[in-house]
Order: sequence, then structure tokens, then C-alpha cells
Amino acid sequence: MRTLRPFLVLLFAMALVGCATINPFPNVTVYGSSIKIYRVIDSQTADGVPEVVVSGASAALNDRSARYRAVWFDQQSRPIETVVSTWTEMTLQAERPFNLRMVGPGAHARRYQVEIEVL
Amino acid sequence: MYRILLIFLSLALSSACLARGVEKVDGRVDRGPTTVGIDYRDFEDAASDAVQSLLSSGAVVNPDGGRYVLMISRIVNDTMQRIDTDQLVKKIRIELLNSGRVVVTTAVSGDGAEDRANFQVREDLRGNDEFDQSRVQRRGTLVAPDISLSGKILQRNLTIDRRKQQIEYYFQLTLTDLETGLAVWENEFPIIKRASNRSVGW
Repeated sequence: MRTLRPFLVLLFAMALVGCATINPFPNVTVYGSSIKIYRVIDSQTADGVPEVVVSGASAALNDRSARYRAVWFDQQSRPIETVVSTWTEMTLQAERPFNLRMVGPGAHARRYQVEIEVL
Repeated sequence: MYRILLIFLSLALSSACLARGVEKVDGRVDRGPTTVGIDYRDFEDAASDAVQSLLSSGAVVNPDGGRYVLMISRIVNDTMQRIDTDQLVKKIRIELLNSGRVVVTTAVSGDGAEDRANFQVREDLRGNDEFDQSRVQRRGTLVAPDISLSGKILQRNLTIDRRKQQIEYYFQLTLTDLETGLAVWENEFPIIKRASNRSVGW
């Protein structure tokens, strides 16, 4: 029984991890329901300006208003004050897919957090 | 003495009444109603779209290295509103400067020198014995622009029916390579609003 204890502890830990919901896209935060995110593509222009494309779909049965933005962070993880981080309004069409493209404020932007808010 | 005190009190009261109902808006999270005319959010949206398009297009990447020198040409206000086009241009300038790709000259612009001091210090101080001539700007030090930004803001008012109208605004911008005269980047950002016919967009 003593030799089994470590295995039991490991099994319990694995079960706990399995029950927890893991966000597959930690750089995308959705406020509100009825949105499914399918894919997030990170890329860079030739001179190092970061871009992100978020693909998803509305799960709502009717059109919903929403807005989105990307907050960009520099190398020291400080948020960059930039006009490209202003909220952009959009209409989520019922059960239709959507693609959001956001470009960073320059090559000094290293990290991002996309926020999508369903209103 | 009492009269002065009364006047002071009434002034304080009236200013307090004026201040009531005034709220300061946090532009970063403002969800206030949209206006018929062009408001600050429209300028922000247009600037954000233009900057993202410019940076992702590669049009402001100098193949010789270093930063491009940009001059601001004419941005025509072809709307029924009295707007200062700097509300749009300034945001774009700040972003391009911060991106590290572009620096803007204030010595040349579509309406002459944006900062007259560029020429004033040369015309007035050069040869003036009152000034240390070793510190006066020398001839041939101003940097000529490589690219120029021009554009237009358009407005169209359309009647939908007896009660409603559609107001369309178009923010059009062009980046020109001054060596060749070719437009190397162009962008149009439309903003469409619908409102009561009784609303006036100016």
C-alpha cells in the first residue's frame, strides 16, 4: 500500500488537472458568452511589426454587438499607450464566423492580449 | 463688507450649480452615445486603422536603413463640419514616430513651414553679433523629406426616408514617395451613421 501511495497521489493530481478548464488561447480574453475562438495566428512583417489574427464564430442565435482590441506590451511587459489599442466596434452575425486582424504599434511590441467584449 | 461677502457667496453657489451634472469622460472606455458629426472616437478609429495599415504594408520601411523623413501635405476637410484635420494627423504622426520608422519634418508642409522657428532662427540670428555664431544653425542642415502624407475627409448626406438619413464620412489618406511621385500606400476608412432627419451633422 505504501508503494502505491505515490501513484495514487499522481493519479489524483492528474484527475484534478483534467477537470480544470484550460484556455487554449491564453492571449485572448472573451468577456461575455456566445463566442467560440478557433484559431489565433501570430506573425510578423519583414521589419518585425507583430500581427495577430483571431478567428472564431458567434454561437448566438441573433446578431450581437461587440468590440475588440489588442493591448500591446513592450520587452519589459509594460503596456504600450497607442492608438492601435482603441476598441473597435463590430457586429457578430448570428452563428457566423469572424476574423479579427490587429497590428502592433511597431517592432518594439513583443506581447499582446486580445480582449473581445460581447455587449 | 456684507455686500462683498454676498457677491462672493452667490458666485461660489452659481459655479457649484454649473459644475453639477458635468462628468469627465474616460476616452479609453467611453460607451457614450454616438454623435451625428465626427467625434473623437471617429478620429481614433480612423487613425488606428491608418497606422495599422501603414505599419503592416511596409510602406514606411526605409530600404536604406534609418528612418524616413515625412512631411505632412494638405489634408482637405471636405465635410460640412468645421474640423481641425490635425485631430487625425497628430495621432498618426505620434504613432509613426513611436514606431521608430518615421520622423516628421516641421520645416516643410503643405501650408508652408509648420514651425516658422526653423527659418526664423536662420534669418534673424545668422550674422547677428548679439548671438554666438558658432551655435547658430549653419546653411544646408535642414533635412529634406522622403515621403509625404496627404488626404481628404469627405461627407455625404443621404436621405433614407422621411424620418431617417444616412451620413457617410470617408477618411482618405495617401503616402507619396517624393523621389518618384508615386503613391506607395493608400487607405480609405469609411464611417457610416444613421440618424433622425432632424439631426444636423455640423
